[in-house]
Amino acid sequence: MTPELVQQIAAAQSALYAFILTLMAGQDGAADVLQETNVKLCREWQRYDTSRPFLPWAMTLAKFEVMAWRTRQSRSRLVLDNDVADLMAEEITEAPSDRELIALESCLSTLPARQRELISSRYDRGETVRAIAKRLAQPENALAALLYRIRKALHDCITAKLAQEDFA
Amino acid sequence: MKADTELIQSLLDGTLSEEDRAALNERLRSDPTARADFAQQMKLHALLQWRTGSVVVDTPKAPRRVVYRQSWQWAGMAAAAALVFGFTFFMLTPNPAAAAISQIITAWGQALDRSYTITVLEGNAWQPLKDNRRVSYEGARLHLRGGTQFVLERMLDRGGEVITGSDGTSNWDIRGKGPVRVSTDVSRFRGAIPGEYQSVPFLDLSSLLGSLTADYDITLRENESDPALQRLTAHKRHREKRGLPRMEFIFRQATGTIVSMTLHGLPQEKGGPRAVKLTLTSEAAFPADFFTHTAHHETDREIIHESAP
Repeated sequence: MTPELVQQIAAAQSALYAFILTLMAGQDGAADVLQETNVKLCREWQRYDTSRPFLPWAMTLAKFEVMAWRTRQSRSRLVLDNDVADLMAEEITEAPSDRELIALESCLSTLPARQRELISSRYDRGETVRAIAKRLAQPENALAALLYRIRKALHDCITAKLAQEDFA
Repeated sequence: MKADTELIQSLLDGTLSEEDRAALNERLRSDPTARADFAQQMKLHALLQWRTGSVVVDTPKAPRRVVYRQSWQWAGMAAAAALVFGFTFFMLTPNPAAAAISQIITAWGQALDRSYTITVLEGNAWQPLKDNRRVSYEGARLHLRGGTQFVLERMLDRGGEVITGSDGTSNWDIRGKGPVRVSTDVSRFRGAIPGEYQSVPFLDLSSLLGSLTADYDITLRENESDPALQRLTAHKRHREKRGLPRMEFIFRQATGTIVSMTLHGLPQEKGGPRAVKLTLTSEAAFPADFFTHTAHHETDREIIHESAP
């Protein structure tokens, strides 16, 4: 395996994680499936056609690993039905790049203080929305809706920043 | 019916009811916009998790919650952002250590058979078992194939051996003349491997990629006694990070094969060694079934199949 390929695998980690997490509908074990995908990428690297982009190839292997994960689960433990999981896989044609992570940092800094604090509670400290709602004595569904809007706003902000960079 | 925002949050918080699950599937099945929104939300959720370094990628095992810093049990892969930025930077920088790690990864990926013998450098060679017997790490043998298959052989204090292993699909444990315990939980019995709970890269490529490059200061130099060997030393940067404080690998420069590995600061909760050295003793190929339990006991031995969690 070449150092370039190792570099590509490392650089693709966040993208693959996002892809896997989406196909698994946020269920536990996405990190494990990513690890298994990494192992597969290292084992299958000779099959990679270097004239083609790396990420789509890696995503294909990741999809197989998610399918293998699904077969290991009992049906009752799966969130997405098989046909819906297939539809979601079709939905994701692009995985986020490192540029999106960088843009995310910039976008987070533009959020109002209260929203930054909410993101920090949920992600940096790993609190559930229920726990945050209890601590702040606020309705859970209102906080859930706010988090949804924040994630959407961050997505829009990242998209705008990347578009701006592409035109610059 | 719950709004999409609540369904997604319940999903992400792990509180989705069966009724909600059915509703979510129906929404996604029937509405392309809902699918696009769902993908968008999941992507941002993943990125927000990733940037905090809360995602721990470690040895494949039974599904579990994504582990957060304050509660993780395994050292695991480095902080995610550090992996993306740190490792990428590391690999982009002309650095002999990067090339060395790449070589080790290549060797690892070849899935060749190899055997290591364990020497206890510090702490107690004997580790107590739950049944009051003790098992020795001194002279224990660890056989590996690829990244998931292993057999660990340790001596019992009252005679006999504890043989623990995995064929990649099921893990198993044989204690003396006792029954064979078999589990499809791929994390089961793996704690027996020194440093395994600290995510030592014998069975875990990601640890090597992540922990070493993101959480450790790495020095690389030629081995004094043999110029064909390289010595890679990793010191953990921050005490508060989980993971072994110091590791040393000696590997063949040409192939990247690890010929010895020294692990310092092994956890002491269950007694046993504090520092061990694993030395490569053989690269001979094992029989195809060597990593299955049936290769290590009589055919009439009782077998207990544990159900996966």
